[in-house]
Amino acid sequence: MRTKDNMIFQYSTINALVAGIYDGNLTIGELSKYGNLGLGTFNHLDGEMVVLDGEFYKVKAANDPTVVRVSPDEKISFASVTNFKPGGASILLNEPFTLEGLQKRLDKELASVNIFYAFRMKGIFKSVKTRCVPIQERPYSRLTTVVEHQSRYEFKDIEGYLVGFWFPDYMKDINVPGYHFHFLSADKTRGGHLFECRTARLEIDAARILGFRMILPGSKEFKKTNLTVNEEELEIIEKGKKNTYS
Amino acid sequence: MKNFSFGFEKLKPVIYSWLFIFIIAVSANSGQDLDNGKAGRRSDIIFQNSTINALLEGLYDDDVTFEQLRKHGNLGIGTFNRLDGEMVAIDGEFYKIKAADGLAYPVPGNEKTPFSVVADFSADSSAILEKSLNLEELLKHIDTLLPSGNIFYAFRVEGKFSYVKTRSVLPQEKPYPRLVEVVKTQSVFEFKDVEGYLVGFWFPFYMKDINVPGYHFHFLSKDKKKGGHLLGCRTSKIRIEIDYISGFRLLLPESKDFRMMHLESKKSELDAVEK
Repeated sequence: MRTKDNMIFQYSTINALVAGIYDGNLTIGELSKYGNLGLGTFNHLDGEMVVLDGEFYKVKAANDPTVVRVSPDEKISFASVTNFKPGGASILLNEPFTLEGLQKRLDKELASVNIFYAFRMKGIFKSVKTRCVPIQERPYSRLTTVVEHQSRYEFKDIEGYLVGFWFPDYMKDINVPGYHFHFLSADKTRGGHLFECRTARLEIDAARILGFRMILPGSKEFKKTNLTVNEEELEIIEKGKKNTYS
Repeated sequence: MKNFSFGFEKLKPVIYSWLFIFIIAVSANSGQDLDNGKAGRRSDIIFQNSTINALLEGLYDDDVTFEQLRKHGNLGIGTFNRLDGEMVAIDGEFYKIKAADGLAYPVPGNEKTPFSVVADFSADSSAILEKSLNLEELLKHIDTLLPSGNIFYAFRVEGKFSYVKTRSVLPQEKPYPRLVEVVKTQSVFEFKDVEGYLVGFWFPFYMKDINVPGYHFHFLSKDKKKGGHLLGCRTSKIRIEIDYISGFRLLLPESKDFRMMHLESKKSELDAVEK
C-alpha cells in the first residue's frame, strides 16, 4: 500500500474540544466508514474512545473503569481514525521502555516529522497509567477544568494495545501535536488515555500517512465558539501536567 | 444547505419572502445537515495539496497533476511546479497567469502543482454589491456575510471593477529561493475598467500553518485573458457568491524534499508574501 493512499479522518478539531464543544452529530456508524483504528471521545465527553481492528470501545470513567462496545448510533464530539495499513515489518522491543523512552525510540523510526503516522502496538506492560474523562452536563466547562476531575488508573502486569497517532507541529490547532495514545487491555476490560507506561515487550506496527480529511461540526455552538487555545492548556490535558491556572 | 438545492429549484417561482424564511429555517438546523448529509458529499469539501508553510519554505515541486486536481474541484487557486505563475480555476477551467506578461493560459492536464486549493463550488448565499469599495473595504463587507469565523468558505465573485492590481511570480531554478525572496522579483499588473472574477477562499485562524488564514483571492478577467494574485481592487458592481464549507482534505507531498524540510510558522513572512 502506497503511503499516499493512507488517510486520517478526523471529526471536529482539538481546539474545539478544549473549548468545551462536547457534542457532535457524527455517529459511530458514520465514523466506522472512515477507519478501523483510532481514538477520540463521545458526546457529553462520556469516556475515552479506542478503535482497534474495526471495533469501537468506550472506556468509561468510574471507580472501576469499565470498557463497553459502542453502538453505531452513538454520537461523537471528536475522533481521529484511519484504515490502518502498516508499512513494512513490525518492530519488536524486548527491553523495557517508559513512555518517554518509547517515544524517543519511535522518533528514530519516523521517516519525517512533517507527515502523519498511525500506530498499533501490542505488548506486555509492567505498568500502565491512564486517565478517563467523566461524562459532562451542560453548561459545559472548558476541558482544562474537566480534567481536574478526571479518573486516573494504574494497571500492573497487563497485556494490551496502544493505539494512536503522531501529528506534525503545524497541525497543533487541529489535533494533538506529537504522539497521542489510548490504551486497551488485551481482554478489553481496561483502558484510557495513556499518561505513562513501562513496557516489558512491545510489538509496534506503524503506518505512514500523507492524507488527512476533516469534517467540522455543523452546530451553532461550533460556529460561535472562540477556538483559541494556548499550548499550556493542551499539555495539561494531554500529558496530565499540573494545572497552574487554578 | 446544499442538500436542499433541488428544493430551491422547485421553489423559484414561489414568492421570494417565503424562500427567505425557508433559508433561515434551514440555517437554524444546519447542525444535522452538515454532519449527517452535506459534509459527506464531495461538494462540501476543500481539497488541498501540500501546505502554505512548505510553499513559503521553497517547496515548489509536487507530483499532483491538474488532471488529478480537477477531480477534486471546479474552482480554486494555486500555483505551478517551479512556481511558474498564479493558478486560477473557475467553472472547471484552469488557467495559468504568467509573470512574464500577466496573461492567462489554459493549463494542460499533465502539468503539476506544488500547492493548490480547490472545491466543487455551490453557492450557499449570494449578494449584489453596487458600491465602489477598495479591497480592504470589500473584505470588511464580505466579513458581514460570513456566519462564522470557524468554518471554511469558497468565493466566486463576478462583476465590474474600475481597478484591479495583481501580481504573478516567475518560474524558479534550483536551488529554490524561499518564497519571501521570490516575491521581491514579482511582476505587478494593473487593469482599469475590467470585468472579471475573484476566486478564492477564507480559512479560519487555526488553519494558519496549513493555508492562508483569512481571505486569499486570485483574479481572472471575464475574457479569461489576464489575471493574477489579487493585491488590490476597486469594485463598481459585483455579485458575491459564497460556499459555506465544513470539510477539508489535505494531501501531503510524497517527496523527500517535503519530508526533510524544516516547517515552522512564519506569520510575518506570510503577510509579506500574500499582501
